Amino acid sequence: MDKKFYFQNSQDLKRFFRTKIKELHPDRGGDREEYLKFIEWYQKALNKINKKPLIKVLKNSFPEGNFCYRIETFTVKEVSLGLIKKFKLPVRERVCPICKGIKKSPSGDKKICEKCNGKGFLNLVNNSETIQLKCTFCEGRGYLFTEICPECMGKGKIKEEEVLEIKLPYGLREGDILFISGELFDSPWDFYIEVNLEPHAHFKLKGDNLIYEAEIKFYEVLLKDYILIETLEGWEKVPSEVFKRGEPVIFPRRGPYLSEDKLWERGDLIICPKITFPENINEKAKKLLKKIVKLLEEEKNGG
Amino acid sequence: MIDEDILKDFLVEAKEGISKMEEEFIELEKDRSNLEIIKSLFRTMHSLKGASGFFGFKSLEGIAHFAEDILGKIRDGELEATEEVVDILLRCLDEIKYIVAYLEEHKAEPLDDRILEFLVELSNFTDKLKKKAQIKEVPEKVETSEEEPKEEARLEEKVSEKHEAIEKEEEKIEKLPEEKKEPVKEEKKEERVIQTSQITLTETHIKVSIELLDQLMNLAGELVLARNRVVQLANRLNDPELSRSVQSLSMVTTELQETIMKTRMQPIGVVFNKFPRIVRDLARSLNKKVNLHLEGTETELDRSIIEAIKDPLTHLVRNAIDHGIEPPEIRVQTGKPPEGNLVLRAYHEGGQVIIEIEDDGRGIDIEKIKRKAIEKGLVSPEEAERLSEKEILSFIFRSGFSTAEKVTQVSGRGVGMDVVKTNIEKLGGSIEINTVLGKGTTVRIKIPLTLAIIPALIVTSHGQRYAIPQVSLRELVSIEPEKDLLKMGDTEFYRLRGEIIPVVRLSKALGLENGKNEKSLVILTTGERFIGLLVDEIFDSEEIVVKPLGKWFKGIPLYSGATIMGDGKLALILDVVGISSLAGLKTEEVERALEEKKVLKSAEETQFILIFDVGEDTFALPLALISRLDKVKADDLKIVGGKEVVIYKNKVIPVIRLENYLPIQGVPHQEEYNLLFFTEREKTCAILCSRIVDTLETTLDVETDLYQQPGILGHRIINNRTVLFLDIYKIIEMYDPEWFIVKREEEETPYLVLLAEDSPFFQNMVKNYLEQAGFHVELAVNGEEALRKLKAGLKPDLIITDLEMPVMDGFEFIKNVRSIPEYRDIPIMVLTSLTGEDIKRKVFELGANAYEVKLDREKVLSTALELLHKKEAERRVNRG
Repeated sequence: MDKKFYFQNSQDLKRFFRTKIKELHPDRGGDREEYLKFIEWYQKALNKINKKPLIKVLKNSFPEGNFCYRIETFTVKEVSLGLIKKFKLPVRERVCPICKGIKKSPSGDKKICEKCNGKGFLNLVNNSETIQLKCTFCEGRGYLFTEICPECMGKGKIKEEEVLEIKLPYGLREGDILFISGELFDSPWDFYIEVNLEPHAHFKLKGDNLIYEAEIKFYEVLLKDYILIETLEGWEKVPSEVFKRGEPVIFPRRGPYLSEDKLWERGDLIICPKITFPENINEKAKKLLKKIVKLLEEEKNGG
Repeated sequence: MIDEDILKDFLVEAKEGISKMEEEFIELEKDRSNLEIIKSLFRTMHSLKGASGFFGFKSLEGIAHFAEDILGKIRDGELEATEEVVDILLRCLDEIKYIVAYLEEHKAEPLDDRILEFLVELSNFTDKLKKKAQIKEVPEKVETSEEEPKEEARLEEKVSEKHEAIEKEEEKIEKLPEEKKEPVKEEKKEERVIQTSQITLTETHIKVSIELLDQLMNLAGELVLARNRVVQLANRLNDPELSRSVQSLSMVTTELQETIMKTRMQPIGVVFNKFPRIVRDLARSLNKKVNLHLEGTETELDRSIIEAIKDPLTHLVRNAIDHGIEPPEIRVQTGKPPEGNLVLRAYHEGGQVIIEIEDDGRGIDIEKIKRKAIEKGLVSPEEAERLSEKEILSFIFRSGFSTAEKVTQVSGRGVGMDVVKTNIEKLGGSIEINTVLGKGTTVRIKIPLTLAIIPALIVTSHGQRYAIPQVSLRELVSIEPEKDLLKMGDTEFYRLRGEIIPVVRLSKALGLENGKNEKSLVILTTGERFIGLLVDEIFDSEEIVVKPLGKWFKGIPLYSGATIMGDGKLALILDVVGISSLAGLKTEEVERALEEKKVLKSAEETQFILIFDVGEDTFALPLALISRLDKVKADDLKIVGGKEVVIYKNKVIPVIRLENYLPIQGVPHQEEYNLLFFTEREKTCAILCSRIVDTLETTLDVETDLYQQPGILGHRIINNRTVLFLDIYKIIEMYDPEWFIVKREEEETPYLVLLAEDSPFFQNMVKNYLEQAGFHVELAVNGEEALRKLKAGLKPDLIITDLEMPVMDGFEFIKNVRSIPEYRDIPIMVLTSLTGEDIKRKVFELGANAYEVKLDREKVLSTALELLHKKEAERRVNRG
């Protein structure tokens, strides 16, 4: 089975299995060998997923074992909705393509092999007979490379990076660690990714809720029927009426998803209106404003 | 979600803290004004708070926080340790105890209303204390909390909560004095006390001092020694009952020793796992992006070593991030990803633990270090030029050496690397730096697994016993030294499944005579390569107790320690790395000696030669010249048109009898003859001989003085017989002068070829066939002579050179020729018996134009012509 198929949860895997098995079934003209292989792969993959969560949110927990630790920037939207995010992760090691595992730079300086004097073979005498053998110290090259391979820094191996799509688990917050088990991609190490939230112009996560700081010009509430507000699901028109009191407006269950064990539960989206005033206004505008104020007062008195 | 081990550690620590605090509270009861106790309590409570906060145990953290708060106030003199205060502190402790016990059982905090209530009560209590300090501010506070609603999230809720809290608070203030009188509350409280104080915490871990463990280890060592002695005695007495009991004693001892060892072993992950936090914080403060990889965290090390490498490692990690990894902008400019990578890796190698700290940052600028070293007067500029890269890098470890332009908070103060080095060396380890400018740096620390008891193989030389640590043991081979060992000069080698392994005779290494019965070869590995150690006898594998050597023996690289054997006698432990250095040194010396000898002797190029008889005489020919060997019946030889021919595979092939051209007796009549076939340009002829003697791989050194006649290149004694080396091309030419003539058009002045070749055999042969083809040949016996001839004004059209030559070899010669401008476009053909892609590549790199194998006459000639024509053409183009 192609190793490129990674599944984070059993639902996805099962769905994949159901569609694929239909194609492969011998009754439908599939190859029997492949069909059996696929079933075997599926069972293994299912076992792997069911054993323990391969992706989880860690709060205040130490990483341990062999791992790759890094800090990634997430958007508020990504963590709130548990979107699919692409990561470029060093998944496995492979033999260095430059030095082919010999750890030295093949294009760097060389020195003559001391054992065979650059001949590549050794003349050894055994009972007055000369035997010629390939020099095993320099592998018959006759010289030794002296500079370490700059590609792999003399390890002979390099880490291979792969772009992986991970569906983020719910409940990630700033400073939390996203744990991704290496088992998911047959990697010899796990991944611990610390969450660094990209600052958003309006959104701010606070506890279970999402705060939206809405800058509203003082006249907008009066003049406009609605005000455009960005929610996790996109821009929405909110009647300006609700902002008149100047108090936070709560959109229940429109905030971030809470956590994996409280599936589908969401926090609230709280819109905090921030009424803004122009720093200076010109005389003309001031006059007009005064006029408006006068009109309004008259109306009030009249009413 | 929390790791069990860490939780366990936390619980152990928490329990210790609790019992300590309990004692201290009792002390405090006696003397309420004892500030020292208060301070100690505060510290313990503080660390408990920190740890529980880390695990996310909210209620535990809360209680500890309030308790710490109160203790802090007492410490600062803001509060008096009244009975009421101490009482509430004790209740805190009880609750903490309860939660810890619950944690131990359920691995999670209890979700008890009672604890929440207690928290509220605590909160009120501290607020009340605050109010006592600033009674008048209370009403204002209520107002202010109403005044700042904007930034709060759940404003309304929050405010109302606060209101409630304040209301409650006010209630409490009123109620508090009455509380004790209220029977209902009193009862509740008693219940709690009963509930909590009953909990006794069972200990799962105890702290033992390292000293005690060391002592245990030593005792186990002694026990192993005693056991070894008893085992030996039992073997001698050969009493079955004794043997059985000794066996069980032996097993128990081993197990005991292993268990004690385990108490000291810890995975290096314990240290490594601290680094994510350090790296994160450092990277943040330096505005760098760093990915951290940890590998080999399961590698186990002695606890004392783990403790000791903590600081050096931290220092190296800091260095890597501060000096190594560049800021993201610069990384992007140099084509690297913005995030730097830092790898911490641990693994076992050759009985040592290797720890690597690797970054892919800017690397270390050797030149900069050189400059700095000169500036600091550590080395003179002339000396600095001579130093190797490694030696220059070692300046980093000098104290007070820093190339950082400015001192940062993190590093660059010039203390550190020297301390790191001394610390590592104190552990018996070593440190090494590999760096590639612009690519990164790897610091490699090698730490010995100085385990007190190790399994070892006991060997002898001249009756003395030596122990070889089993970790470096690869395999044992029984050999016949005279037959199986290969020699190069004075150095011996053994061929183990194709691998050539240098052999060290233990007796020789010890400065003694060669042992008589040296027949056992111990193959050892240093982690990098294999060496063979030839010893007299091999005994058992035994567990030995490593005793350090006295200072007089420390400097000897051959030994790493000593041990006491079962019979009470001493045995030295051999240091495999030390022995291997001995092997390496010797081969180098031998090589040098050989090099000098080589000037006198001709190079040792070997060829397979075919030896055959023609009547009484024995001849030799390089096997590669012969295209086919076969036997024919006498009847098959026919005389056709005055020429003797043979019909072979439907072809008429002329047969040459050597006696017609050489003063020899010739082939007597035989029923069956052997034929040697030569094929050239699709023309084949055969030489008649009476018997094929042998094939032999040998050099082509021949004596040329005795037989000076066309067709013979020289002679040599092989197996007590004089063997004549045939010049087959001459013979064929004598048979048919037209055989090799290739019709060349527009014959101008003949081309001049400079032939550099040391072996007389090839000199003659190649010269002959070149001259047959119409070239003029100028001979030189080595590169130097050829070069001299060139410098004397010889202008050859083509240079043909051998590679293996004394004084100046072909490589050197080509290099020299190509470095002189006027000879730059003389085509050079390398003619060699060395084959191999690598050599071919090398000569082309040096500037040769062609590469041919000596014995392929046809190919040599065609390539020569090709080169000459190409040169002609170029010359014409240049002229035009």
